[in-house]
Amino acid sequence: MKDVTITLPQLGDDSLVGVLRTLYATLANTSVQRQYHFNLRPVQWVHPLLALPLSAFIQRSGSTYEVDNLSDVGKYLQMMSFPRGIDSLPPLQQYDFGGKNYTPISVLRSTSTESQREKLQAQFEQMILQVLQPALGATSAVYYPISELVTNIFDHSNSDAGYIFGQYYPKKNFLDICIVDTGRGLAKTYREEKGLDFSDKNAMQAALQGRSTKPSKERGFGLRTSKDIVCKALGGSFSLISGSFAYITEVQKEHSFNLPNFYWQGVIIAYRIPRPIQMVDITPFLE
Amino acid sequence: MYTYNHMEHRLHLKLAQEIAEIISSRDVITVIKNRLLNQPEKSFVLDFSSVAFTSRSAAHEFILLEEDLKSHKKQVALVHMNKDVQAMFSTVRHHRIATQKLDFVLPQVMDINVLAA
Repeated sequence: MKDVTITLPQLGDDSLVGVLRTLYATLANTSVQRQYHFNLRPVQWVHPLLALPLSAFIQRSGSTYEVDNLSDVGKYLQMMSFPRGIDSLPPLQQYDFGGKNYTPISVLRSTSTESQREKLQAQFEQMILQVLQPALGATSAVYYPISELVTNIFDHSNSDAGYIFGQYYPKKNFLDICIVDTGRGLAKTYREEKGLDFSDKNAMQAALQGRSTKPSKERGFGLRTSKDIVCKALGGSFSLISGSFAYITEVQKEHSFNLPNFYWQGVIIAYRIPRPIQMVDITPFLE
Repeated sequence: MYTYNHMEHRLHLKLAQEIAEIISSRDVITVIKNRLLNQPEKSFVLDFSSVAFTSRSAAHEFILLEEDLKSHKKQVALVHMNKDVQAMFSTVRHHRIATQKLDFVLPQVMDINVLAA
């Protein structure tokens, strides 16, 4: 089993681009078909964009990890139920925030009934509202991207599980959400559903343009409108990773990255929104 | 949770209890639709009391459910929506066809290792 030591993000760089670099450094030259031992001892803080994909990778590959359980990071990972997460409703309902500003890792499984999965997802979304406490009239804006992006996992990815996690930073006044699947990824979905041989980059562009892989002309809204609500309605940042390609829009600047020697089988979405302090009307962004 | 309203001769389904208070997924609505199609009753009420939010996808799927039931000579009434849910349904009804934003183009691609350098 190969050892992988997780490198620290650049001090002070908690931007989505900065955290992408840490994720890239951690999982470059790895494959979910092999097992690794991840050393988190040097890490002093863990961002959702690192913790959640790592959780999914460890579960998928059967890898192991080590951390100082007495350190702040060790306690944080324990409290968020890293790496296995919570995949049933009663323990999630019993989760004691106790002053914490983050949810546990929640795992939605295709083996659950549709109703069980929906209740678990609803509980997660209500917990996000509880930590964030947005202004009245902003709840739809908070719920919408989570609802649409998680729905996409079970509509499109053929993944057996979806992973979700949220962390609110009260001093910085923003919420980070991460949504991960280890399904077929964007390019393979276009290939299998539409016979289109897209690169990871072209598949991502098509998805963000709203080109659905479903036959109906009434599909294709979810990803694009979610990004618009996060970025335009809420003034946030948004990142999307699939295969060997990443797209990030942050502080109204857009970036695209090739990720050589890195391959995420599935999709990773991470976004950041400031805490809404006034009503947010999402209807202009739904088309 | 189904109840039968004898006065109105309709099967009444409280969605917050049957599904959840936040309804996001298409597949859970497909399950409901198939159950209603297999019921002998011809008339149903889908009660959105205590449903705080429906996603666009879910609202669209409910609208398709209405249409499928109608094509099978069954009726469904969607009742007690809060204003956010009403607004979502109104948006979906008025903007059914997805317009592709083909003018969206990814920015120039960088290599992540250039950033790290």
